[in-house]
Amino acid sequence: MKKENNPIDEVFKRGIEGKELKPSVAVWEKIEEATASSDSRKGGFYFMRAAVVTVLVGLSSWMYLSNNDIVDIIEPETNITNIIEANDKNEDEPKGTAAKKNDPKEKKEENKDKGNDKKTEKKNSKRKNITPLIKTRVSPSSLYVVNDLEIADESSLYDEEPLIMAEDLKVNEKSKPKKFKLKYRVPVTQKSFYADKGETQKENKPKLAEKVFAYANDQFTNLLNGEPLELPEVPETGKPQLEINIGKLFKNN
Amino acid sequence: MGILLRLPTSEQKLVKQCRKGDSRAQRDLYERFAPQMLTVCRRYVRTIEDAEEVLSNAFIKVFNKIDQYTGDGPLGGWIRRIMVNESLNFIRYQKNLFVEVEEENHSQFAHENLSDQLNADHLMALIDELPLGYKTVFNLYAIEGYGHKEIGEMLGISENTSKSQLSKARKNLQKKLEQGKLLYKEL
Repeated sequence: MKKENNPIDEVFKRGIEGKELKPSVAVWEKIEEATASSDSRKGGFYFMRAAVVTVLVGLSSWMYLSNNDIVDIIEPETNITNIIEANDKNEDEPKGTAAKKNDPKEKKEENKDKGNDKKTEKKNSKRKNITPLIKTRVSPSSLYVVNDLEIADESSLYDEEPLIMAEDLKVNEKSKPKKFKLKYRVPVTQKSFYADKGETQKENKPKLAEKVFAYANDQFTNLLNGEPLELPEVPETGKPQLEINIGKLFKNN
Repeated sequence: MGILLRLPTSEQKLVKQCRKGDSRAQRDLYERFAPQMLTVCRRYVRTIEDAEEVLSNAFIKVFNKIDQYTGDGPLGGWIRRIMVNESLNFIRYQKNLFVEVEEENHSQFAHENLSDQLNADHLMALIDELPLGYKTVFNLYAIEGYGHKEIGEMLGISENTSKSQLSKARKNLQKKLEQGKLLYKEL
């Protein structure tokens, strides 16, 4: 037994047991008000879900539209003619920073606007007859440039020369260069030594690359010192030879 | 105005409906338990108005927490526990507002009638007159049935304090009961 039944306790407990007091109406009203506000589950079930879906749809469509100017979607090709016309006037209005993209990837009309490069314009104005097929795009709202696609070749952003894609240039099948075989001798010099350690000239025949490098190294040293260069001698044989006149490059002689 | 006869709903059904947020079920639950729960609250606080405030706050908690009722034990017991806790919260809240003066509270209940000597109102009046500390401990121990350890935890006092408060309460009540009997005998 946990606790002894104290007589006083019993008197009071039994006496009060079952006693009821009537609460005033205001009490229920207060309870009802509090529980009604937090308890709109049944109606709220579908409402909340519908609201969430609406918000998501709205958000995604807003994001899509904000990324795609509606103008971009319509007829970007016409802008190129604008560039050519503009070149004649030789404008000096750079429209934003240059972020020209000739990426074949950008077939999608999702990119934001780019501006015209000054240099491109100048070059185009000089060579009026030749219109290089440089794809640029001018869109009406050209005050800002945002690039939200990854560029495969970031260095292209900093190129001063415009990128010209090989496919833009029409390569003639006939104009392929002839191939020649070259035979040449590199003079063995004493100044440089060969890369492989522990090997002498006599033991191993040096490879062409090593010879070339050693020769070049020597001549460079000569150049720095102001000494005359040792040009390679071409032995005379009956066979036709290709003369590469490099003497003009080094005007020490 | 026709009165719609409704068969008494079992407690299980009531709880199930309340969990769904059925306002009719909530009303039924309230009407079934509120009167006896008001008595519980009344024993802890000084006035009937305070008791009603405790009652309403406690019932709001009942409906919010109805999911937590596991069915382990009777529903009335679970509700009662919430009532007691809310009453104690109220006392603590009152204590924080102004300095508690441990005085005998002159009860609102009349207890002169002889036949009322041992009836509920009279007894409640006697408890009402106890100083706050004695009253709380006596209520929790003698009426609610908590042990001293539990009381210590609920009130933030030691077991010994609880024991001493209880014994003082009992002496006080006993004295008053005997005074009443004496009064009766003299008449």
